[in-house]
Amino acid sequence: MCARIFVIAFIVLVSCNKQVSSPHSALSFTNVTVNAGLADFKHVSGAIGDKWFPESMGSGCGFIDYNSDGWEDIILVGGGDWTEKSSNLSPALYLYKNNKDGTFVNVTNESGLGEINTYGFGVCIADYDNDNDQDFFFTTIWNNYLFRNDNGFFIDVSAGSGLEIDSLWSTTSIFFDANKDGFLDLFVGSYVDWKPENDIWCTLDGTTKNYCTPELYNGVASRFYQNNGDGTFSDKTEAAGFLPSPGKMLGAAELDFNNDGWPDLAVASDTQRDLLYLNNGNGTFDEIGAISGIAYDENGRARAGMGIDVGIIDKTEKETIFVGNFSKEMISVFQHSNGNFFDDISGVSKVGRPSLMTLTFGLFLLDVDLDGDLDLYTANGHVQMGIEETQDGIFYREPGHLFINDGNGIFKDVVPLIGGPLSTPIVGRGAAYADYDNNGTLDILVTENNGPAHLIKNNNFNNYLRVKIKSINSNRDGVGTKLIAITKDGRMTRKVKTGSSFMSHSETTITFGLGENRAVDSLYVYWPNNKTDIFLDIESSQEILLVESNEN
Amino acid sequence: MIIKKYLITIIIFTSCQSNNISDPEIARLIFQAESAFRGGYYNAALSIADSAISLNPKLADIHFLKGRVLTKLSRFAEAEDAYFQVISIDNKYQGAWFNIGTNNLRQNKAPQAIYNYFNEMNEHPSAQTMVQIGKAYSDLGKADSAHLSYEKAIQINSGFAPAYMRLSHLKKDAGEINGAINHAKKGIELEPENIDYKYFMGSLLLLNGQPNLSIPYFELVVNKKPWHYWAHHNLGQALFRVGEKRKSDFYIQKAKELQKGVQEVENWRNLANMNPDQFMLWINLGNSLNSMGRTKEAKDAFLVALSIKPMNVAVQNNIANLSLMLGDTLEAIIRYQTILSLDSTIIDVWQNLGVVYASSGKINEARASWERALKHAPNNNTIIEYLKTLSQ
Repeated sequence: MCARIFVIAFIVLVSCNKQVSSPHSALSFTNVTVNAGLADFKHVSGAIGDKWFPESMGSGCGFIDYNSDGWEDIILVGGGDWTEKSSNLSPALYLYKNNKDGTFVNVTNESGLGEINTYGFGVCIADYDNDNDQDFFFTTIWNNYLFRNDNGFFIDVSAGSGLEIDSLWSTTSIFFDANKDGFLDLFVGSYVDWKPENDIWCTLDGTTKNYCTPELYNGVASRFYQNNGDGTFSDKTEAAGFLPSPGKMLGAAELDFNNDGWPDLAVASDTQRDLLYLNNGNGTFDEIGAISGIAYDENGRARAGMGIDVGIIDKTEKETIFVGNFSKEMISVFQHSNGNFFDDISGVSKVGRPSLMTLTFGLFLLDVDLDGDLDLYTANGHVQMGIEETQDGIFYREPGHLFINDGNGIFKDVVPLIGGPLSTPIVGRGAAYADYDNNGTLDILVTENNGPAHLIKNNNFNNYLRVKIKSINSNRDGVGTKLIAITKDGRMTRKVKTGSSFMSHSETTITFGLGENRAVDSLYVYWPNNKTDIFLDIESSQEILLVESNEN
Repeated sequence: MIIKKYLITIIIFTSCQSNNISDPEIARLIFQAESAFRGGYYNAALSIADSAISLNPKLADIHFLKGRVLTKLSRFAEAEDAYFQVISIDNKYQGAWFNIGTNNLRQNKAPQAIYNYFNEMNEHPSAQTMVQIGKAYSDLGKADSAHLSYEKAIQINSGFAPAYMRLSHLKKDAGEINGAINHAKKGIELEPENIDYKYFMGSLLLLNGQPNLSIPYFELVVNKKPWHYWAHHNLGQALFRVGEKRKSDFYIQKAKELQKGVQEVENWRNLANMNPDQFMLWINLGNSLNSMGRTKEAKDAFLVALSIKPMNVAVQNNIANLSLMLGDTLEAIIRYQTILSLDSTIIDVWQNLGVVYASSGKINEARASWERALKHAPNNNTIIEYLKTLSQ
């Protein structure tokens, strides 16, 4: 590994205010959905009374710079209708172009996505063909879609891509460079073997049908596709060690807990054990979830894992996995300890108890107050309409959680303190973040099941540094790149990644919250191909683009 | 832990009230019903209870017993009806409100449980009831109220170990590990033989970065409960942290093997509790428990299954076999005889009955049993060999 000190490319995109951080109670957010022009979106579950299982699960959302103008656009999954029943099919996807003034315009048709009719769930965005634009993968209950971006117009290249599969219910997907060959591979989570023909009658009150929980259906194994580098993929699920698998997977996040430079994968599974795939560095993985201690709760029971994310939340520099679970199951928090073991720190982190009663789907770590540490946002909402009538203390519509990190990995849910749009009860599902207005703060996008999307503007300014990555020798997006920023107050470690949360995609630009610091003293960039660059003395409150050197 | 306490309480109530029953016929029926219940003959217990009720519907004791049997069968709505009958007869009847509360709790109805537990507290204040109230608050996510309830339980009875352990759990969930350890220490001091408490203490010590101190606790648990997944896993973790990698690998691997069984048990248990009238769910639960060596719990599951299909010979046979494994020779004999009274041609049961008699020194009975088996299977070499051993 060679360490060099020089700035390869340093593009100042934005300059912003330098303000002092606010106390937790003063944190402020604004729901800008209507003003932003997103009010016409509504997720369609297709429900017409039969209470079919998939209706309660969707759907995802994402930020995508589809026209490569440096402003994050928004993609929303519309859900779908049951073709057996509906003659007027709802759009499966919605794409909103960022007008760079805080508003968006619906460009679904112009971008080639208007004719997609299916029953959709999630999106994952990446430049899978290394041609410098953002493509995306779209999961559905039937065949999934791979969309290639050609100058802002999406071409459905699923046929012949190697990603055509039997009709399986797919959920979350994640692009990551498993074998570090410079092309992003794809892990596609599958859920259960549900079809209208095998729908099961479930009830809460003994008389009326309600949505089932996944215990009653057989899980379907997730799949792993290796990118061949020519626009096609090969199914390596079995060869790479992803079989057998319990299925019922809803979330996946990239991590490298043993710091060997090879991307591992943490998987959240619904009523099945959570999984941890250890990358052996030779194209294969070992599933060590049970051995590591992340698979089950303290009674040996599998939880209902939904959204997932991984990050470094304290000064230990150990990666911590967060998994959103069902009501009466706390959010799981597992911190790497040593070897292949993780410690359950849901209690110690203070995330556990406040999350006990909520059902968490979307979940991600972000530095929401730009103070230098990762905070935790969760989108919550139950799957059973009318759950209030049968279970006390549980609600169908639930407020989100915003856990603010004190810098030592101890969190406090501030939503009850600050109120505002995060405290509005919703049927939360997908969630993602990005700085859509390029002002340095991370804004939140969240979807509701059979309901609207919400764009929540973050009003909590502070000094920051935003870093875009462009890799040359590795995958173009630099997925897997680790960045460490050092300021007077300490170090911040972040990673470029896709996946995480629940069926959703957040921006891949890295945001370092600098608090009162006016500069980053040094920025270490560990590229996926093991090269390291070091940049010194970078001014705060700007966005820079780092392009990997072509030199060896 | 809670069930155990609950049974003790009920036994006290029953014997206490029975002294006041003047009608000897009813007293006899109550005694028989109680015996049937304790022996796992749930249908018989219910039938006898109903007979007693027909003789005197105003006797709270027998409704109470009926409620307990129905609770055991997870027939919560009927159990609740029985307990309310008790209350309509005697609204100060000890345990009636408590048992309704516990039924509520098992059905995720925590607010109702709290209400009913407080009714019990009004008449019969106890640390046990206060702990249950705390548990209900905990289920509702109201940690502060739960905390107060456990402290109140300690005020009522400072020697009540579950209150300290519940406080310890609360502290752990709140991330206050040292506080949790202190409460757990007190709980263990009061109930030093409680294996669950030992496991919990081990977990706290491991979480607190004291793997060396946690190891003896986990070792104790894996010895006493060889099916305990987490004890094996945590012992493996603790050993790894103190550098004992080889031993660690052994326990981690063992934990991995156990987990599948644990998951299976939990799945069947959930399904059986949700659908208590489904015979096969109880059978599957019993089988999964039995395959993990959890004999007593397996027997309990099969007993519920038998109450749904009382004439099922295979279940009766399983229960007899498990009784034998638990050292209850008498019950095994009674169960085998019951099967043979339903179908006297089952060779395996005659064979088993002979084995039980032989192993308890009843040579003539053993011989008679095996000879009956040979009548149906004259060439069965195993039984012929068994008979030869008697002659020797």
